[in-house]
Amino acid sequence: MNSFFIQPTIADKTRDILADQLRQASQKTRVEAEVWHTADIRQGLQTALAQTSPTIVAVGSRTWFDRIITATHSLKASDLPAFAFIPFDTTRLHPLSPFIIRRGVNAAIGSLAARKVSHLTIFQVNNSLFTETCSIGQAESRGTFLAKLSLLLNNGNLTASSQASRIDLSLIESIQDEAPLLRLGIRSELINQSVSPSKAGLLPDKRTSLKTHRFEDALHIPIEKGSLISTEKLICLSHPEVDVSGTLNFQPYPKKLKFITSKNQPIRY
Amino acid sequence: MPANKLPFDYRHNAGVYLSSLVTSQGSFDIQEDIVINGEFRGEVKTTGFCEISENGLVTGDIDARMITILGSIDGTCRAKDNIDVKKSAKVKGHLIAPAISIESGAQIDARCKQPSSPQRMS
Repeated sequence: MNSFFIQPTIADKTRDILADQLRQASQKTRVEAEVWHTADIRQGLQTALAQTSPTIVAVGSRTWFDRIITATHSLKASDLPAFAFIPFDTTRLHPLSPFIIRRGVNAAIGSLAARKVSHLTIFQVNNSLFTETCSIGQAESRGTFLAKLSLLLNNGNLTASSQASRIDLSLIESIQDEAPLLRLGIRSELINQSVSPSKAGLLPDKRTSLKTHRFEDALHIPIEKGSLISTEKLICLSHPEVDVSGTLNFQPYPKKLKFITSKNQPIRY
Repeated sequence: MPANKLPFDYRHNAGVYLSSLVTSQGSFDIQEDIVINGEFRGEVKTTGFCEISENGLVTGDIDARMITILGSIDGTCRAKDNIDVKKSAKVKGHLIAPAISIESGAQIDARCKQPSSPQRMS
């Protein structure tokens, strides 16, 4: 993560050097978008980013993150950044008229870049991008399902089948600057039914039985890339609007999310 | 706690864990600890610790720093430090390590070999 701050107590000369560096950095992140109508924000930014930016850019506070991530649209087959737009709800938080957007998008990104720029590693599950854990489970009924996995490891590969109740995907933070890996975790729910020994001799309706549910870690493994097949209908538990039906492909996304926050905003995620 | 039991959370600490609910095949070349408590067919190469737990059923070769066997293996186990075969283990194949310990009760149908330590240069 890269952060840019200018402290008020800093010496003038250092401040000038820093300001110059920041200006250069903001130039790199500058996006030129001609947007006249609110409805064109997404398209305008996409077009602009496709032409200029090597990264994915989201503008806003961290509180928008969920909305941004879950509102993803299909990634393009090309290598162009396809994930970039200001959520429409933004207009409520920051009342931007179309005219201000036209001027404001450029200015805002440029100026915000001088405040704080974060590069976040993200991962892809089918056509959606995630910054946090992606939890996958069964659509309606509780219980276990058979998950068939085909996994590419850092060095090696694995095909596995496992009983699963919940599948969690998250990124492994690496201290070294290595390629990011996904952590695949499968948990399975086990149900135990026990009858109180003192009542074992009684008729069934007089007995007291205790049903306990517990989750067992079925598998966890760092992977480079993977796919999952299940005959059951699966949903994304953490973000239900994301489609995870059919064969599920997951891998770290090759690009980082360049996240530009406004003035020293507290992290509220 | 019985002597052959590690602390309860050791599986969660392992980089790779395959439980008894998992059937798998493939190859690992990792630098993390691995615990296999399910069916696995293939090769494991790690610079860390490898445990084949009670329900582990491994067909293939293992190359690790330390190996503990509580389940079954059919293949060659090669450890840099030591191999620890517990009484619940069933081993077929080869055990190669500077130090090998076999608990009474373990079913062994394997050749054990201790590689000669390298000579010191004066």
